[in-house]
Amino acid sequence: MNTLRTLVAAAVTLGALTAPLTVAPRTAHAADAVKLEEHEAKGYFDKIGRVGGYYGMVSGDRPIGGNLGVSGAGIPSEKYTRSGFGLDFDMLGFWDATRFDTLIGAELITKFGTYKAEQVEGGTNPDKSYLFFRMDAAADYGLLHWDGAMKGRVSGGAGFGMDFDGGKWFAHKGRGYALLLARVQLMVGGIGLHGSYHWVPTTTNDPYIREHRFEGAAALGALHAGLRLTITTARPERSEDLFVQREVGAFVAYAF
Amino acid sequence: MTRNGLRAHGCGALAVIAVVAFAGQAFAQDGQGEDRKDETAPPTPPPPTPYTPPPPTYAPSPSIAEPPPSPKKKYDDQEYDEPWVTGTARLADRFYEGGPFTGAGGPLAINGLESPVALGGVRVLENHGYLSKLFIATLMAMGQGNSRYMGSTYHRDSAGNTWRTDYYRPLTPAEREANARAMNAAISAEYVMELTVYSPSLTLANRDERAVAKGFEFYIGGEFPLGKTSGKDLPSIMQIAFVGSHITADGIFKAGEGPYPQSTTSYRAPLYYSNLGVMVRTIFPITAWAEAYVHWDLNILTLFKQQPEKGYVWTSPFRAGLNFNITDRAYVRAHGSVNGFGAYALGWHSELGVRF
Repeated sequence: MNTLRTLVAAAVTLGALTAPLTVAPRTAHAADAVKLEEHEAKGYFDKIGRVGGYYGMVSGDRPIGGNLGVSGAGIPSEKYTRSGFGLDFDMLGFWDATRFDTLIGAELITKFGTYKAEQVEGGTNPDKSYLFFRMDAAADYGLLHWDGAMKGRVSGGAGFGMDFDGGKWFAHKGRGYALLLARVQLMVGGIGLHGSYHWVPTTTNDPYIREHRFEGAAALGALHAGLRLTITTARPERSEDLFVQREVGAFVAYAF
Repeated sequence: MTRNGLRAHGCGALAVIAVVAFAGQAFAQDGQGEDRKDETAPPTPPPPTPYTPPPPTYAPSPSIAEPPPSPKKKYDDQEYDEPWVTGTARLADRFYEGGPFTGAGGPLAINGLESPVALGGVRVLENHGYLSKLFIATLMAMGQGNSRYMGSTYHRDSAGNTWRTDYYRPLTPAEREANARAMNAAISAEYVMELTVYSPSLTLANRDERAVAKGFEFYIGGEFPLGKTSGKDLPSIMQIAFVGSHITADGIFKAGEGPYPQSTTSYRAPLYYSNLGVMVRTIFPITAWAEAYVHWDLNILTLFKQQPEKGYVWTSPFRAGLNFNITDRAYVRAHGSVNGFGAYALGWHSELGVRF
């Protein structure tokens, strides 16, 4: 009975919430579809490819020696840093809409670069670099979008990806993963503003890894620049401690 | 050019047309006059007819400030005259729907369980979407090679080894063209794809007391309109799809039942429901607000030897239920399921979701 009561209450609430959406987007859709094409050429917005470069600085904690086989709680840890740079090649955009005015699109995010080995303060560190390659693909859905002086969009999506980096203490060389994403885009006075969040709930080789990738960027014509923050948490299987790695980076890109 | 400017130009154009028409009429009358000139005296000119220009109308013309309207988009024709709830008419269009569900039994309702397996998770449907096109196109691309197998020959060498030689030939231009046509047809077609994920973490039941389901059901296929119900302007739709499902649970069996009938107390034992086959689902509109559906998963695995002692559940569950459209964007659906012959086989599922 409780389940039924919850279901009815939720249905009424959902109906009240979605009733305005049933009418409003339709009246706006025709104009929006035209505007969508008009804004294509205005930078980081509707359909875009971009090529650029990035630089990232990494810091984090790891079990001493980066030993994955640690177990128990209160494991002695050490701080480490590393840095890397590389090239970005990204494509994202929308090309159609559903019956309910949700924009349909996709994205392909590719990175190719190199990262130094993890450097522990005061330790004996390898003078070594590792190649890094990442490719993520996802289906994107523009759930909310509006026109006007501050045209914008909120989208979400799901997809999968893979990356290859031999220098991470917490991960195998290669890994595949599913990902969920959210993105907010705004066009304010000819400047495109963009914020995105990609969540990796787990990876194939290392199921104890969670990754949160944030990106904020501004676009002025063909010039795109922004910052990235990636937080990776790892709790190795036999460990009760959580180890966190943070990467802060910047990128500049040319959009076409 | 401003709207007032256009209006002034329109009035001017209409005035010029009116003047030309009047002059033509006068010219024609003058011509008649010339024909009669030799017979009669010069005619008296007709009294001038006062001209009242029609009310000005907006006549769009190409300009820089006001470009001509863009061609209509696919959905423009239908968006202004649709009611809040369009019922099964939505199934002719592209959309997604999904939401959390709760339930019990379902495909894991088998004899001997102490209590039905609890179901919980998320269902997502893609109707006429691009992911299903991508899926089908990928399958077709995997099946289309650049060569055709022509057969094999075998021979035995002096050392007693058997050698096999396979023969292939490249595809002819006609075969390549046929492949390309088939691929284009597959991409142009519209599909229905559905994924139901059963997750213990989304189950409302107490996992210590109840068995909970974990797994998925996947469908991809097409649809066949069955025509409109008499008296209603809403179509009935039949969907036929490929099924691939696998759901597991640690079932709680009664003493003396299940895979270990020698047991004297209730016990837990794993269950594995697998389905590989064809799904047939028919959706009947009752009103735009409600529709009934029946859904049957025909499981090819039922043709093979059943192995209940290993916990294998190879059944063809049948479901029948109702879908209520709260608005076009939100729905509640509920169905009952039958997974065999007996009260033990009954189950239920209820779901609340949104369309986007």
